[in-house]
Amino acid sequence: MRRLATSGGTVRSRATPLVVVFGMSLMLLLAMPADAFAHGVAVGDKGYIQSIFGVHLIPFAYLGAKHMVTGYDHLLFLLGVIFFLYRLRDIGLYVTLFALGHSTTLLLGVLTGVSVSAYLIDAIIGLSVVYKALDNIGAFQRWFGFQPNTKAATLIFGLFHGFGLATKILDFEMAPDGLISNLIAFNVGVEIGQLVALSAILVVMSHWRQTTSFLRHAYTTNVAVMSAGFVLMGYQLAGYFISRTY
Amino acid sequence: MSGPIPELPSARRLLRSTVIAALVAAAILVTIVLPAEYGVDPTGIGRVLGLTQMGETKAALAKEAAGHDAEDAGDPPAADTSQSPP
Repeated sequence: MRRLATSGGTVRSRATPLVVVFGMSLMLLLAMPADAFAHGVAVGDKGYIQSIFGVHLIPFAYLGAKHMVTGYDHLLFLLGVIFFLYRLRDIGLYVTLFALGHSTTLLLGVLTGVSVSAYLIDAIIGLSVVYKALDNIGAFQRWFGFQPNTKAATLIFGLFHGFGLATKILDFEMAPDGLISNLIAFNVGVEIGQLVALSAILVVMSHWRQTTSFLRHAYTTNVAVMSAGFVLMGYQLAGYFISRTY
Repeated sequence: MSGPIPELPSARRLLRSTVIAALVAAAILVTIVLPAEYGVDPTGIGRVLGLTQMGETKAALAKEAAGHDAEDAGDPPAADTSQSPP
């Protein structure tokens, strides 16, 4: 409970955690159809990207931010990472580690054109959600008797999230002309989007943490997040095997 | 740094929660996600909900997009031809 006392919020929210969880699930659902139309004829974002040449910093920054804000897999992982972080310094540190990880592989993945199956990468991203949820409920400490390095895990899973971003960008088939500038703009957009999403998550979390029932619901919430991670994994793994039959 | 939860839950409780999380995920996958995304519907619940039809359409489109080599494969998508939309 000591840690609860250090979280400096002053507003006491009467919103029940259930409402909060429901609201967040709703947000996730709304974000879901985002890539439903990604295949087939290039329309939407991909259509735009294929119709332009040269450097377009703001549009690519927007696309990066959009990808992050509507990327429920990234957001779930981020929620897991900051779930028990109370001090701004820690939040900054972990988010920086995550950003460092995914920026590295985003840039490397696109520039080297490494094409790993998007399904497998996304399945690993689902695994990262499961891992973090288990970590949060103390499963590794209990089962293995020690706490695996949380900073390293954030960095390493960040690398995989970056590969996921890279496969999405490769799917855009960006023109080589202005690629690096556009890529960096996209990356900056990703970080902006992450900060926006993180702020929203933190506002909700800091209210929720003020309630006495937070710790009780924290366990259940992490189990629910773990279940969502399993769904993501199954969804992507099934996609991997089914797409191979096409 | 922060040991997440003050008192660690018991190993048994953690295992139980993990199994429940996995079972719930499996149920959601089999009855909702797989029918809606890929037209794979082992329980038939997806068809009752109308999700399998969506998945079949998506699968057909994906197959089409995946390449023209799909033509010689010759086997239709798992579609029940009765319901396939235009």
